[in-house]
Amino acid sequence: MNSREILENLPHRYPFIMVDRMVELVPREHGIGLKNFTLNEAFFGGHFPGEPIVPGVLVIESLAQTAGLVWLARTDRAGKTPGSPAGAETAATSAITDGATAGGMAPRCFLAEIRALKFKRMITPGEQMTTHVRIMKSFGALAMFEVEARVGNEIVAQGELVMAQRQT
Amino acid sequence: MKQFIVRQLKLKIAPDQIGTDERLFGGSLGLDSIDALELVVGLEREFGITIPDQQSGLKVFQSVRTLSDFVAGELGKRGSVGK
Repeated sequence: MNSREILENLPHRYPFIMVDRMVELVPREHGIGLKNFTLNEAFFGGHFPGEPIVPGVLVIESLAQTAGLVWLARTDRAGKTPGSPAGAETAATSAITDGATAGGMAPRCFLAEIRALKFKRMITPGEQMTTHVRIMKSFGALAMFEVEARVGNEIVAQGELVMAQRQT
Repeated sequence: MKQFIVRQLKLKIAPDQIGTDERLFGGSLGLDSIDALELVVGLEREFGITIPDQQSGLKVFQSVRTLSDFVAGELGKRGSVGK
């Protein structure tokens, strides 16, 4: 999923859109997002002056946005979901469109719980972070995700998040 | 089961403060749907027991008694097959 498709699937906008690209996406199962950190980001000026460090809460935000994309991504856009056959896409598409009322609000999900999150090392400007998320269990309007942030092959953060879906 | 619930949900009460037949959800414990998901995941991890859907979950989680009856039943089924 490229940036244009991300903007179509996520309601977030500047200064709060934390996923540049989806490298891998199996809707309702797992996905890998990607975010580049540049020295020019709005928050580095304040966090901290003279020592730019990516705030942990924004790593969580990026993981949560990736999770939201995995849970709610519409796959009816030119079949850009890697690895899924056309039949599966149609089924996934109707699951999403059935959830939205006619002329009503799009399905949206929210971060409901940060069950565990460990930051193994700090991330600094110039690094590229990948956000690996996998649904462990979903139950009603909730889904629990196993999440990992990596820079290259190194795990920089890991834990579990719960997302809650708004019905209509 | 009471210890499991207190531990899994990180409740700040002693296990024996939960009534065996007390309503777990919608009662005075103040548990919500996120807690329900935590219990579902906890059952899978600790006992290898899966709750198939929300409907079953609602029945199983009514009280400590319904929960422990369910767990005992599931473990009993497994015991007879030999593990």
